Amino acid sequence: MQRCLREGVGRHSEAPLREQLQLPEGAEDRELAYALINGLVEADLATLNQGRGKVHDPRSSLIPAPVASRDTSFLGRLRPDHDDVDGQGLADMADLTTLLSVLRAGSIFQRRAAARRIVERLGDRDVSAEQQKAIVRTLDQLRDVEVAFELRVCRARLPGSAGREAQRAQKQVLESASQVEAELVRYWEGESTPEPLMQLSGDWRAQLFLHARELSDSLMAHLCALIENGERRIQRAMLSAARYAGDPRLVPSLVALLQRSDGEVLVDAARAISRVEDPRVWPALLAAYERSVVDTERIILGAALGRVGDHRAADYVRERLRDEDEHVLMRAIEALRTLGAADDVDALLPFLRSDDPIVATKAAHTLGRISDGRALSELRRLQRDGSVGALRAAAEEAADQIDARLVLRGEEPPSMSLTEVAEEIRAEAQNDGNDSLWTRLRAYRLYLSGRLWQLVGASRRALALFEAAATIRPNWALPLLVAGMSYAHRDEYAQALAAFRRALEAERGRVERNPLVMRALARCFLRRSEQVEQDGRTAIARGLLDEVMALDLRRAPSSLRFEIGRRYEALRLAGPR
Amino acid sequence: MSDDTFNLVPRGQPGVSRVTLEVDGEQVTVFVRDGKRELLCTCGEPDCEHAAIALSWLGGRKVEADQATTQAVRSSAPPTDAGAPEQPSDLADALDDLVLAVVRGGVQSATSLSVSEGVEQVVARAPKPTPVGLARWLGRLNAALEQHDVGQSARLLGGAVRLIQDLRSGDPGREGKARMVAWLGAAAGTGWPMERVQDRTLMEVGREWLSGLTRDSLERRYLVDLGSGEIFREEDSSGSERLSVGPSPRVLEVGLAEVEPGGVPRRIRVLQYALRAIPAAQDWAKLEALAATRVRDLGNAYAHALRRYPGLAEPFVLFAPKSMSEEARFEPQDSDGERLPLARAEEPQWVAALEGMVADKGATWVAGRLLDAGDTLLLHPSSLGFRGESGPRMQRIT
Repeated sequence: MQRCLREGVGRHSEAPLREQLQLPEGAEDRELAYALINGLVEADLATLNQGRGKVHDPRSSLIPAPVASRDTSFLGRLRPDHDDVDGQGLADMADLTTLLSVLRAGSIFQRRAAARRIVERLGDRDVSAEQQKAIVRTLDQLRDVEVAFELRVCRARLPGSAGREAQRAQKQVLESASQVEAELVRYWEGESTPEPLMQLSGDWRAQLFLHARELSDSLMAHLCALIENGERRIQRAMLSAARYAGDPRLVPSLVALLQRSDGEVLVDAARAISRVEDPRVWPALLAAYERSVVDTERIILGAALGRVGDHRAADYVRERLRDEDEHVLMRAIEALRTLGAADDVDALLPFLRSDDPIVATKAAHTLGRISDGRALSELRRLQRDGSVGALRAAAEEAADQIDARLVLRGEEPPSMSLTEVAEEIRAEAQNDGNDSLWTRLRAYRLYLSGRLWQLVGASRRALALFEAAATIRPNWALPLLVAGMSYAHRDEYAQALAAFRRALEAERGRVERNPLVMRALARCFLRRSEQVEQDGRTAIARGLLDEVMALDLRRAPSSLRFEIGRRYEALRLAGPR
Repeated sequence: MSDDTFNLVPRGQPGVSRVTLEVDGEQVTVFVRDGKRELLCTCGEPDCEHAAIALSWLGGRKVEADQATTQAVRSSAPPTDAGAPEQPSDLADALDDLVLAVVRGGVQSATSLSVSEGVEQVVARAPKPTPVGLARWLGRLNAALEQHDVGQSARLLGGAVRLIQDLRSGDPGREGKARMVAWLGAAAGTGWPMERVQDRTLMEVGREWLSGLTRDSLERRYLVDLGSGEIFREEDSSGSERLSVGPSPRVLEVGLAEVEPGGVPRRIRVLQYALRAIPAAQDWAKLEALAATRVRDLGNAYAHALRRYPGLAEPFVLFAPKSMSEEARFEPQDSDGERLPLARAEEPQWVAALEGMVADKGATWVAGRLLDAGDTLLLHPSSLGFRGESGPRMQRIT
């Protein structure tokens, strides 16, 4: 009977079957079909429970295997966890120099594992002061949002102010999370209407979910509920905030979105889920990739597969580098960060020379991830001569990544020529200004008076004194910065912008080197752009983001940089309105 | 809706804890919980006029004062069940054609044109929108045919054969009517009275997206009645407003709900409820106490469910394993040493995720759908219960 239903009644002589089912010869097809089905069901149900004692699912698995990368180098074989076969597991690695290099140049999961291992090593007694300094130096330089959580944990373990600052930031985030948690209980119980996460600013949401793995189950379940069933606007905001969360508790909701969404929600879900280490991720991404037919979506899904170690989309993405559609092209460049290999450097270098800073910046980031030495000289040139701050920063980061990768490969980075070094020194010397002593003293007196008035709460008077100080000593940024931060503190972003711009004109290098100022400044630009966008002035909003992206944002928090980049790209891709 | 003290009858007289009034076609239920009055209306609107009229009947209390306290009770969108099939025999004929197409063509030529046409005809002749029971059956049939699974296909077709006979019968009887409602929803035209349940505490222990007419188009949540232990499924098209809101896990204090007959878990439609986003310690304790502990009992219940509703039953269980097997693979087992193997073949990622969680956190219970591979009972895991530092917790797998 089983064979009849498997192959079809029409393929065999019906006589034996009729006989087996005790049907008369003239019985209709329908009667035969019903009798066959009922017979099979009865036989099938009779066998239920007879397999007690069987210990495993007896069926064989049909899942295909991932297409692994061709990288057979040390880094390509380095496992994030323990490796019992050849000992190449980061979880067992003791050498801090190698761990720091992996932290710069490894895949996302290798970088995370390296950071976790460094935290463990920081507790070991055999870590010398020199090694600690190397760790501090590397952590200070890294602005890697993909491993922001692990870096923060590392920083919190460091002695001194860096450690205290990281602990303070963590405490602030967790306090904020507790408040949100209390509000979400009221929200679901119907006592307060506004959804608490949407009440937070975009960058603060991102900051919050960078710490997702420390947040409570209830807060994460709330986030999952919004991702699963929120309005599209809310879904996108939450997916954007959770992009770097890396928390396995998000996986069921993100899998659900991959299964039933399309467009930007699908893309956002793919980006978020591919950063989670979990066995459910790869099959969900693979299924979505195989279903997808829209280039822009398929590229992102391919890149997401690459991030989890499946490189099947590499050739498809390389083809898309020749596409004339700007959206497709940019996503292809971006996708090669996870799918690219050394052979792709030649194809990417022309994009690095592009007049469009966004394209060039994306190409720099991708070259950094591919980390082939041939891109170094071009990146160093951009780092030195680039006209856009964000591009210079991207070039510097990429060059550092390549250096680290070369170390891991046992190669040596090509040294800078003496001419290049001399040029750098000359450029730095030109930045020194000079004022007369008298002017300096007068300006400083006004500035100090302003600070005193500020301390007693007379903000307006204080601002007037800062203005006076800046007027008599125009190339001095400090009073302008304090004024700008004072405005920003009171959410007067338009006024704050003016002060910050003048400070940048006066002492750009000093401003860009100060993390506190850069945080306030970047947030101010972001908020102001949100305000003008809400007023419908999209072009101005984009212009503001353009302006802030031209600055060296390496000292700004990674969540802010991410949010600025995300909003900029969204506005840009939305086109002129 | 509540105020400080409330009695439905004057003090000193025998207590009345619940009154239901029908106002303009809507059921308004007034009941007392913890000395406070709660009020629910099937219209789904807070502060509705039906409630106001009902309250005026109960002692003429001022409506304005009461309206301020109604926010904590939520309502799902009222059910918009599909209308009864205009010609039940048309649907029966379409199902009949589909069954014959599969039997003639065979399960291994599942994508044959006649089968596709058969499916289209069933959908065309079914009530609109396609009832959830029928949609899920079609989704499962498609999957079984794609996987060339003869046993599963036979069960699903067997379920359809019973429905065909019910639809063609002038008087399908009590069992037949219940089956029609299970397939076609409340408005299957049988006059079957829906079971109404009130004052239940339900806790969600899992949710998943399942294939219906299209891939993953049905959203299903599993709700455990913390009083009786029965597991219900709340199921509708994905994103439907008829589904209750909230995160998973959560606790629903149900004022009013309707339960459909049919394959386990029975489908519930929560009409009036209050929501607790964070389950309390006693909720977790009750849930844990309700978990099944013997694989043999699960097997018997599974076989019984499939015999009654071979085309619809998808039993879901909460199982508290006594221990884990000591091999590399995690397989829950009971105190008799009997194992409940995990379904690894089709989608091993769910089991891999569960194993990772168990290795990390341990397990107090595992919840999931029961399946079988011929004679072996299997568990497709949906969620895991474990004890965290702060007490009992749950982690979703699907």
